Amino acid sequence: MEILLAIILGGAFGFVLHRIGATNPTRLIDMLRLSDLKLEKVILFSIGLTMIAIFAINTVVPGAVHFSIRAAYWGTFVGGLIFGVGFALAALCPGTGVAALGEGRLDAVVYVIGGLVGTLLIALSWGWLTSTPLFQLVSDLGPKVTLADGVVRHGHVMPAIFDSVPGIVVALVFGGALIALAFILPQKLREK
Amino acid sequence: MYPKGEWNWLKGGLAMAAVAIAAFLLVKPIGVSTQFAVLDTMIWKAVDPDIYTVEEKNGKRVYHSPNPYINKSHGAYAKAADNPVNYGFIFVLAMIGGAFLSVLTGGPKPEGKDKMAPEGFRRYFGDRPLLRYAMAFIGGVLTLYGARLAGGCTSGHMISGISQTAVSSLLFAAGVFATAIPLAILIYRKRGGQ
Repeated sequence: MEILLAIILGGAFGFVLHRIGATNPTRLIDMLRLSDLKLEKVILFSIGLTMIAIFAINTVVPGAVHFSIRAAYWGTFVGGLIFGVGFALAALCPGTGVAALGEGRLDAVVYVIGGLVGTLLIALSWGWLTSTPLFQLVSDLGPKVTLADGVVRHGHVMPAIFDSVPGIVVALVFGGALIALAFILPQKLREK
Repeated sequence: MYPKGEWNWLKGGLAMAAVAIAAFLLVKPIGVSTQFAVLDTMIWKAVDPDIYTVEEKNGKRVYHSPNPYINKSHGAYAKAADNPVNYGFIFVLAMIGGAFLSVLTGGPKPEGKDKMAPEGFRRYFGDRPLLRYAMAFIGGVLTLYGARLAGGCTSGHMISGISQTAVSSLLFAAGVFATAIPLAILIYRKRGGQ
């Protein structure tokens, strides 16, 4: 059953990534150099809507949403900086690079091979990395911190920064702002 | 410019949210970059059989690796590599099929040159597929190194993580755009004579 869901959900994700143009490095170049904001709008809108939907469902049917929060340590930010350099160079990311294989892009094949090498390098340097301050936690509240309250995993409630208001309120304000931004942003900020 | 057949942003955003919400409700949040570690472990095992070992303990299979990365989280990558028909790995393989299905059913289709060096690259660098491959390779190394250091990529941290209002994912996104946008503006600019 779970494997069938993997095929359906993975297939749908790859289908949507391709159908919005996200597997096309031209789109990603224009996204990053702000010369076409279509993908910014897709990302902002879909994150905002997903956020409001899962916190609304979580309020009405507690336990229905399978939350999974990743730990916040300084390596998350530094990893993001390194990722950003690679993102600009390749104009592909792990998800779009894999999906781009399905439309026969040869540069995506090279990208995925590079990704396997990058993953090997993290495995070889992991022992050293864990001895650096990169793995110090960002927040005193704990590793898996959220903004909105009510995120539960395996019976544990994740610490929230805005824990004095219901999670759905934070989701409506934050998610609503992301959706509004998707509508407000112009088609482009710079020329190609 | 762009090939025909793309959805507009609103339709695309609705479809993307529908997939993300379905994943949250049915199994677990969408993620991709972990599977690079799983595939790496499979390849590593074929080259070096000692990269992980399996031990039966009280009827359970326990995985150990001399490599601290593959050994972390109770040898989760080794376990997944040992059982390739698992949710996360099949999900990522199915993504390739999903994109192929989109091509077959009227989605955008890259033509000839665009499959080697896309139009957006040629616009600034000209017809140089080898340079494109070099940049795609180095970009692949750096994005996966960064994603695995951060514990997720654009899928796991941004779509799934920010939707859950995770602080870690907001930090990751801030890092990504702090370098990606200025660097892209610097790299992809009009060059004289081309």
